[in-house]
Amino acid sequence: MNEKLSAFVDGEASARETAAVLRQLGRDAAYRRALSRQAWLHETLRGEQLPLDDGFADRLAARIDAEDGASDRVIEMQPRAARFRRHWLGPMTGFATAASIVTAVVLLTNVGQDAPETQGQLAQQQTPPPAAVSVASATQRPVSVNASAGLGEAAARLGARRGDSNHWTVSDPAIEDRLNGYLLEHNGLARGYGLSSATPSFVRVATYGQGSGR
Amino acid sequence: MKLLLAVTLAFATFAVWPASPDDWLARASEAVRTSNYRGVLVYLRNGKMDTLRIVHRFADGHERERLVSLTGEPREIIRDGGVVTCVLPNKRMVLVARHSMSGLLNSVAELVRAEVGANYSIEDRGTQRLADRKCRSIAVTPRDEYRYGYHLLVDEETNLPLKLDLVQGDEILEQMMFTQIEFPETITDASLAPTFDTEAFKWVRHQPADAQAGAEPQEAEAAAAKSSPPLAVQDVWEVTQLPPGFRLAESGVRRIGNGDYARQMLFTDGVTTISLFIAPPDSRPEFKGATTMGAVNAYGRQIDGFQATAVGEVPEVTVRFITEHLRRRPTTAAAESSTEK
Repeated sequence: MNEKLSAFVDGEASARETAAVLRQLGRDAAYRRALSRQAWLHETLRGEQLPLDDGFADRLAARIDAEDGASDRVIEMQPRAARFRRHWLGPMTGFATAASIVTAVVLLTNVGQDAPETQGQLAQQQTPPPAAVSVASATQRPVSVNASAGLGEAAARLGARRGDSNHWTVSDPAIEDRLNGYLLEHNGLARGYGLSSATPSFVRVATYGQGSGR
Repeated sequence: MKLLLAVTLAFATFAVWPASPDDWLARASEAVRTSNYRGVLVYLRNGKMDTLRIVHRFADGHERERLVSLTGEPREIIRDGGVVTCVLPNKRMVLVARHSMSGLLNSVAELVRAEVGANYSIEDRGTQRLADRKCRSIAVTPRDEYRYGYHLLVDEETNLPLKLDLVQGDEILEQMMFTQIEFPETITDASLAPTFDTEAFKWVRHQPADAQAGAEPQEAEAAAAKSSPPLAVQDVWEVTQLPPGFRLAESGVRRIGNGDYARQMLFTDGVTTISLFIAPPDSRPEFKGATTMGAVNAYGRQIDGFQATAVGEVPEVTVRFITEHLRRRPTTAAAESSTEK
């Protein structure tokens, strides 16, 4: 368990492992406590001596539950065709009339390569399936945490020639702090200009400094 | 009757008229800002994968958003209109940045046709399926080395971009994609509230020196001018040459932290943005040269003791270009003083 949690806390878990951890968090109080301790251990090892925050994982799980009941409605990834037809065709029909809430569950395995439609259809006939999706009406809101093999590997391929993706490539923490402050300011002011308005904002701000860099 | 027929035909023609690639970008921009949605976003880049939970609400013309880091150290970003609150529980710190929302008026919907075409080619690559969702593939390809390219998969039903690739040549630098998303009719305030009790945390505020909202705007402006008059005078700082297609969009003095001030100049080419910060001399170490964090590049240099730093989601050559073309002109007072001598 600790190995999985450690990978999760370090941001090194694959998507499948991440999904498994999130599912377990929703079900198991002991697991949530273990996550809090693992996060504390992670920070302590990085030299940031902090009081143990026992409640972090509980709050996180409670928040997720309160918002969408994910822990109760998580579905396991299955071969796409069977799962899709059994669960989602009905709600898709309902969507046309109800359509007040749409839930799209995107299960991705083809990261880094967008398959054209025909290739995607071809791939669906093979195993494992590349993707599955669900759409549901307001009366039935399936929520699923994705499970996707290969996301971690895809991440490793991206920007392979670049430096650390969560830390500025500077050695002085004071300079890094200054640059992080500038990044926050930049994202705030840039919001609304160009494509920054077409993407969820502050994703970089939410991830800078993560990992075991410094 | 004829009029009714004409109107109906006109409407039908408009309705079936195929959307241009620009239209798709505009729709995506609008959907990101004006839809209610919540989901899980995966952010992939060099060897790293972060998972974030996102909740976004648009109600009564007001945008609110919350991002929670689900991997790595706990972190929350809450945006309420122009106020961004960044909760860093492990550091027991809260950063609050306040911005005007004027930029939203200049969103891609307005700019795409006017100025983007000279710097990018925008191509509709047809329909692709992403996890069985029918998406429109839009490629935004730069015409020179000063910017990155973008590949978007825009959900044809909701217009929300479900996937965004940031590319440089043939290399994919980053990918952001929703792995789970839903579109509830309403989102409660509780869904947008911070998870952490931040009462005992240290609060650090960033805001315009002339902020109308927030604490002590007049005092902040006065303090900025007193602390560093050259920052308070926009004309003192000038970028003599910009990379092709870029223009100055905004400039102002900001309080960054609880006592520091910096001038921030924002440049855009209609797709991407670069901020140039000019900070007065302080005790912090100088930053010279280039650094990078994923696809974001920064370049710093010293000018008369001032720290100039450009930051943006652009190649290194672009932030370097802007920083190296920054000039400080003597103020009138300084020039007069010099003449008297």
